[in-house]
Amino acid sequence: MKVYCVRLSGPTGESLTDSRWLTLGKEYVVISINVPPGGRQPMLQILADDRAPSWWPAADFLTVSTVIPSNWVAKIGEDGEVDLAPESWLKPGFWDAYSDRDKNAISEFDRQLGVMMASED
Amino acid sequence: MNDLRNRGVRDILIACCDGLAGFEDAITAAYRREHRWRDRPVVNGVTKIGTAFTLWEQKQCSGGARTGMPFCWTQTDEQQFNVGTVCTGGARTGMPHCYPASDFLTPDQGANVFLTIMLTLGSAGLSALLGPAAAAGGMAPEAVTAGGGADNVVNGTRLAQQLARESAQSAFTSSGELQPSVIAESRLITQGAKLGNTDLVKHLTSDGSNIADWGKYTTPTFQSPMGDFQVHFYMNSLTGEVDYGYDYKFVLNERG
Repeated sequence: MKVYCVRLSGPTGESLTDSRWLTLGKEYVVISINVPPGGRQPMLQILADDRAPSWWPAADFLTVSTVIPSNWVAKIGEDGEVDLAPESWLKPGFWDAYSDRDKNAISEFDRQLGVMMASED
Repeated sequence: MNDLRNRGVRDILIACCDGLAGFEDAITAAYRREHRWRDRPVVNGVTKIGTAFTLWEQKQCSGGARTGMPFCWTQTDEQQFNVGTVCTGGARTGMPHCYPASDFLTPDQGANVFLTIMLTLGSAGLSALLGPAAAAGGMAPEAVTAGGGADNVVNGTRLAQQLARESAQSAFTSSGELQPSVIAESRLITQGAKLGNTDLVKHLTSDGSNIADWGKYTTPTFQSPMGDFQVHFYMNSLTGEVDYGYDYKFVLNERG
């Protein structure tokens, strides 16, 4: 799934005119989707300009490619939270380990990302 | 450690690690010194080291097993290293300990000081560590512009280190917190609801807030003498509150 950036937001939701992570009009690969409970805004996890994964409001993007990666699963969590992502990425602690540069987590991230990129080809 | 030595690191001032097996031996082997190690938790270690920086110089040790050493400190206060004015114990027989000054470099020799800080960043932050070191670093502008030939190579290295320190310092306030401008340029890397550490979740939501409003963020990359790094921190996106009390740390970027 690919999107392009139509708006730039800061970490607390403020509008920005430029960003060191994203570029207006540029296409990005969506690597997972999260719809939080309680009316919070849907979020996209994308590979930003530095190719590192991070979360951004879905409202900041429009769809380019509607292809759903073959390795995504749909999970309904507490209070109706919805996740679309590789199953291994949804395990508790996975992203803690990834951000702490755990080799196993990085390896699993790369493996699943490879599947997604193949889906886009 | 040998690689660091080959790259010109003359000595190590302080190595602060989380019990990494073999690290002490590796340093001793590379630098052939009898370094002494404190067997103590490193939580808030950076804070203590930062305090020590300001206190080490020109203190005299008046007694104890290592009488005559230029300085010593005691560890009577859990919150900081107190430079000792009285040294009554043996070097290995309990506090206070004395340390030979020749085992260390003081901040005014900063160009050759290498600091390695792993994992835990105390709430006083990196600036507490880098601030005094840079301020007393002795890297005056004339040192950068003077000389020729090989001197210019050395001075170029010093300038690079100075710039790296300034880059690192620019991320932090004097109290070690992140500059508001740095927070504004940070991005969400883990949603609060996906945090796996239950103790952390309890800590963040102890004020009644919803964990879904929290997240783990990373700053942009900054340079430091230790290498490029980012700071990871937790923030409530609803209120803008940043939590500096738990797992506030900097992470060296991968190399190569």
